[in-house]
Amino acid sequence: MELVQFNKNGGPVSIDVDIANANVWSYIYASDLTFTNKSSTGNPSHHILGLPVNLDDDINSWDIRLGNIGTSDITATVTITWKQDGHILNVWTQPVDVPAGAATKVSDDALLDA
Amino acid sequence: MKKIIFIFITGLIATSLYGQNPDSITIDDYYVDFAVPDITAFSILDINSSDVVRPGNIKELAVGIQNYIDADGSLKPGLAIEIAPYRLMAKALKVRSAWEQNKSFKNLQISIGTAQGDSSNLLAAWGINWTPIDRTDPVASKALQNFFANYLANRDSIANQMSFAGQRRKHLQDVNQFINSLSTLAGSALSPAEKVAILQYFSGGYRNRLLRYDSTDNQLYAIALKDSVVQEMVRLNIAINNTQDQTLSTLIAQNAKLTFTEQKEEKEFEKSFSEALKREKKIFIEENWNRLVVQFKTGSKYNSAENSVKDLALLNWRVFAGVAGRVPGLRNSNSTFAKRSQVIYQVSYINYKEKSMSLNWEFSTGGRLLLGKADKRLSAEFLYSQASLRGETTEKSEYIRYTIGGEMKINDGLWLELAVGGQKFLEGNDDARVVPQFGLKYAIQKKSRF
Repeated sequence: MELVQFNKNGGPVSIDVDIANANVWSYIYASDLTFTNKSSTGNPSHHILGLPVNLDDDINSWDIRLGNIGTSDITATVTITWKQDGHILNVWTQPVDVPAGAATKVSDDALLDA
Repeated sequence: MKKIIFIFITGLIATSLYGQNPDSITIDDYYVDFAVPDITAFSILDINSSDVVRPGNIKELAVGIQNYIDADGSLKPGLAIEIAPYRLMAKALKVRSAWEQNKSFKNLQISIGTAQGDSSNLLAAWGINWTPIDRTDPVASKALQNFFANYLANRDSIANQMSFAGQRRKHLQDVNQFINSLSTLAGSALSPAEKVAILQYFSGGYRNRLLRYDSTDNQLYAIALKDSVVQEMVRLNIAINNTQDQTLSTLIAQNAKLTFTEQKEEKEFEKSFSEALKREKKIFIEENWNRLVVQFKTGSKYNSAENSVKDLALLNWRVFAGVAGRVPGLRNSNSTFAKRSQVIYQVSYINYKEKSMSLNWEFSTGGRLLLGKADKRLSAEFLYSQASLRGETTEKSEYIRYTIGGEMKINDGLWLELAVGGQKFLEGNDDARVVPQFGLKYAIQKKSRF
C-alpha cells in the first residue's frame, strides 16, 4: 500500500508505468478514470490522473499481468512513478518472477493525499 | 502422410538392399548430417552439460571465472560457463535500451571451458553460437506476443464486468471511509500514514493477503485479518464501539470473499493461459517450420602443457554457417509446395593444428531439400567435401555424398531417419576410390534439427 502525497495547489498528477524484461504484459490502473495498456499497442504508458482537487483522499488500485511465452523463467521489473509538475512524488517498483510458459499478476494500491 | 512415408521408405530399403555391397559400405559412409553441429566449449572438451554454469549477472560471471583462472594466469580444470550477453547486459539498466534495439543479439551465446588432458596437460576451449535470424521461433514472433498481450488484457476487460482492480478499489474506498470515521483516544483524526497502516491489511495482491493470513480457509482468513487490524488499532490508540466493530467485520468478510474469489478465478486463468500458449505455439510451428533461420558458429580448442594462460597452444578451430528457409521466391506464397518445402545450405571449415591429425584442414558445403511438414518429411541431400592431407604429400581428399530419404519426429529432439545414399571420391588415393553405390542409412538421433 503506497501513500502518494501531492501539492493541492499544484498541477495535475500523472503516472508513468514501466515494465522491463517482459515482452508480454497488460495492466489496468483503476482511479476515477480507468487506464489500461498492453505490450501489443506499443504506446507510451503515461496517464494523467487528474487535478489535485479531485484526487485528495482517493484510492487507486492496479493489476499488472505478465506473460512468459518463452522456455526459460524470467524476472521482470514493474515500476509506477507518480509525478506532479515535473517532480517525482512516489515510486513503486517490484521484481516479478514469471515461470516459463506461464502468466502471473502483481497488484497493489495507493492512498492519494493532498 | 504416414502411409506415403512408409511406402517410400519400404521402397528405399528394397532399392538399397539390391544395390549395396556389404564389404565396402558402412552406414556412416552415407550419412550426410545436416543437423546443426554443437560447437560449444563443452562439446569440444566433452564436458557434461549438467556441469555447465549459466551466470545471471556480471558479478556471478566474474566469480565463476575467478575460481578457475588465477590472477597470475594459472588455469584449473573444471571451468564450464555459458553466457548470453543480451540477457546479461539487458539487466544493467544503463545499457538496456541499447541492447533492446539489437534483438539479433538475443540469441548470441558464448561458452568457455577447461578440462584435464590425457596427462598433466590442461585443455581449454571457447565457442560462440549466434542465431541472428530465427523466424521459426514462436517466442520471437511479434504476432504471437501480441496475441498473448491481448489475451492478458481481455481478462481485465471492463466491458462485461468490473475488473479485480476496480473491485479492490471500491472495497478499499469503503474501508477508507470507515477509517475516516475513527479517531484516536485523544480525539484526533488519523494522519495519512496511520490510515495507510490500517489500509495495508486490506490491500495488495491476493497472493500476499493469503500468505499473510491463511491460504486455505475463508473463516480463518477473516479471524486472522481482524486480529491484525485490531492490534494495529490498539497500537495507534484507536478504540471502536460496537457499531464500528460490526462494520469492520462486514468489511473483513467482503475482503475475504474478494480474496478467495480472485484466487479461484486467477488460478483458472493461469491454467487457460498455459493451455492456450501450448496450442498457439503448436499452430505457429506447423505454419512456420520452414521460415528463415540464419546461424553462425565458431570455436577453438587449446592445449596448455604448464596449466597456464601463457602457454596455451591452438589445437584446432572451426567455423560453421547455415541458412534454412522456404524455397527462394516462395516466401510469401500460399501454395502447398511453399508451405511444405524447405531448403538448407551449410558451410563448415575445420583447421587442425595438432600434428597427430591426418588432416591439415577440412572444408564441406552442401544443401538439403525437404518436402513435408514440421514433424515428418522427405529429404534430398548433397554434400561436397575437400580436405588437405597432412604429411609429405600435398594431396587432397575430395568427395561428394548424396542421399534421399525421410525423417519423422518421434518426440522433442528425437527423430527417426531412413535414407539411401552414395559417395564418390573425386580426388585422393586411388585405393580409397569407390564407385557410386547405394547404401542404407538409418538413425534414431536426439539432435536439434535445422
